[in-house]
Amino acid sequence: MSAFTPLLDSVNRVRGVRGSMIVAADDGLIVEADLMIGIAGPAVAALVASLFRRARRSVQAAELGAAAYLQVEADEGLLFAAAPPGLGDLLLVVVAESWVNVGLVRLEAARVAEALA
Amino acid sequence: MRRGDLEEFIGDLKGPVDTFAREAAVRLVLLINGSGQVLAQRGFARALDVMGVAALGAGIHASSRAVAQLLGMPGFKHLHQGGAAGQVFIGPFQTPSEELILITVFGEDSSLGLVQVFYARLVEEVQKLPGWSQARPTTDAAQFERDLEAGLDHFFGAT
Amino acid sequence: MSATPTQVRQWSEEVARDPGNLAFLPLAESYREQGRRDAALRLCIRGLERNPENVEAHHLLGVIYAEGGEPVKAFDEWDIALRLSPDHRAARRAIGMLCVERADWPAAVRHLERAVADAPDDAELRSAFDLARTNAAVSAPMARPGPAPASPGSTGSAALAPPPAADSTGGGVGGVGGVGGVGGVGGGTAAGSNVGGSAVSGGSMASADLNRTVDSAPSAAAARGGSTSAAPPAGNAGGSASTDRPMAAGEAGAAAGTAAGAAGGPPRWDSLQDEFAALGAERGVVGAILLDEQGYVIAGEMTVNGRDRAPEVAAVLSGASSEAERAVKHLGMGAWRGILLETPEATVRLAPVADGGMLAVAARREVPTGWVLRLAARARDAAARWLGAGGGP
Repeated sequence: MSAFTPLLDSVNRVRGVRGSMIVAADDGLIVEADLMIGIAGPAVAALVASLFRRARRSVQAAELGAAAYLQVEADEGLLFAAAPPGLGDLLLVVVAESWVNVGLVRLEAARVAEALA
Repeated sequence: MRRGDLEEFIGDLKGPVDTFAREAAVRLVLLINGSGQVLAQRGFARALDVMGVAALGAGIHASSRAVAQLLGMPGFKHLHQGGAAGQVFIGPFQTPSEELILITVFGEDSSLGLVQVFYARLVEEVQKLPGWSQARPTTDAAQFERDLEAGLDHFFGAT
Repeated sequence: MSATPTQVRQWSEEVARDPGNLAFLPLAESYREQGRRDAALRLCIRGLERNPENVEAHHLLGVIYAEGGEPVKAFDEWDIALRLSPDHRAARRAIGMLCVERADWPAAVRHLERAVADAPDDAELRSAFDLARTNAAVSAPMARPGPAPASPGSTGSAALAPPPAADSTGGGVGGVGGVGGVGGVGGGTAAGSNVGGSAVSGGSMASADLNRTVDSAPSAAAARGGSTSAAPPAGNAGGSASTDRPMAAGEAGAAAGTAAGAAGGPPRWDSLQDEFAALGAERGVVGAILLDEQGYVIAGEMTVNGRDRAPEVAAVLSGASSEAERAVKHLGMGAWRGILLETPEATVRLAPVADGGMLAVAARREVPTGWVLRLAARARDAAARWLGAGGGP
């Protein structure tokens, strides 16, 4: 059990969340994961990290600050990536059902950020 | 071992390799077999570069396997060389027919994670192709040289 | 009474010969009755491009939108119908019922009072009016200006409610929730009720904010429209402009686009630019841009530190659409519907549009996230109208 385990636990307790991970933003690799069976963790990590990097470049180009939170909505699910300052280059990535209470997920992500700070 | 029937199947690799290059957003891709024969490429401009990378890639793979054996391991899953401007990934994989090696170079548009994900998909697809889903006949050294030349002509045209 | 197959065929032939033929209206109604919503919707929109002042078409389009769970668009269409014809009973009734659903009691009272006067025997209308009047009396003292609290759970751009403009009677109408018991529409829509329910606690508060926030938009749109649009306001646009009420940004653009359609050619770029410029002119909004799949800016601006950053943003974002598509496809999540990106300084919303393009709306963090989502929904609608009317490549 690492320092991230209880944080992922708290995120996963939100109804509709299918799993969460700590992912390295630059190489898209999983540092720690707690996922439901059937979720392609490495693929989620790589793809979400890639999206986050592009989003980060775009807001930098627009001089809108450093990307801190990304949410991708799809027909059949939601993906979240948060970059808490306390995590350095790591991302908190969450996979959820499309009907999840987004506010709760964001709240938990904020708590993780707070805990890491 | 060297393949003597590449002409027949080599075209089938173009689709999976192109998909890999696009999805993983890599700059260069080279697929060779354990003998150094070039099976597919994308992103190279000159035959000379392909030959050089193919030879070096095969050499690196052979060296790393030797290191792994010295350490009592069967081999490395893949090799990754990080860098500021570009990164190199060398991924060997076994098919029923022969061992293949994917060599790819990528930059900031991609990542090791992405390359790994789409490399795994490429492996699955190639293993299902007719030319690699079962054992195939091999050839002699002279024929190999001709195949090598023919393979390069296939990608860059006869000079 | 349902149309006969012969009638439908005849209408189809007439519309096929002349897309401006008014047979589009009964044909669209017939499609609607058959449950062919998309066909009815397309037909209605195309018909309105050539007949922008057709009140019945606006009303029918509102009905189609309402049935499809798009109450904001329904509101817009009925609002246009009422502006073109303040005596249009069905539109008045429908918009009044929408206001009830939205719990916007003052607006509901204003509309339903008139609707009841027109149809005193309509028991459902009377009941809704009584309900609105009672609630308006209770909630009136609670109304106060100020920003509506952002709903942390609001994610979908479908959660919408762009700020409806004041109607011809002068008062603001507030946002729109679901539709219930709208004349000619049938039952309420569950989705609409949901949306309304989540956004309405304190409907008059939200209403006050919406009306205040949008105040800047029409002026910006009008200013740009006046200076850049080569085509004189015509049809619907002219009708709207002649009233003493400001148009909401979306309406201004819609009217301009429609007017261009009425002129016969594809919609003018000016109309789209005006709509995006109006969105960008809202308080706290950094900009709104529409990109094509190559990363070229089609319309809009994104001004940061006094400089338009749209080209830079577009260049980096150009691959985001395909990247998002790739991600959700490989993860078996269907199609991507939107991306929300936050920095300590800004909130950015990205959403796909037809033809592989994408729109981006950016706002400062003081703008509630829910409001950014709604602005993006309006931008998406504007882009869809423009592209759907032949504005694509």
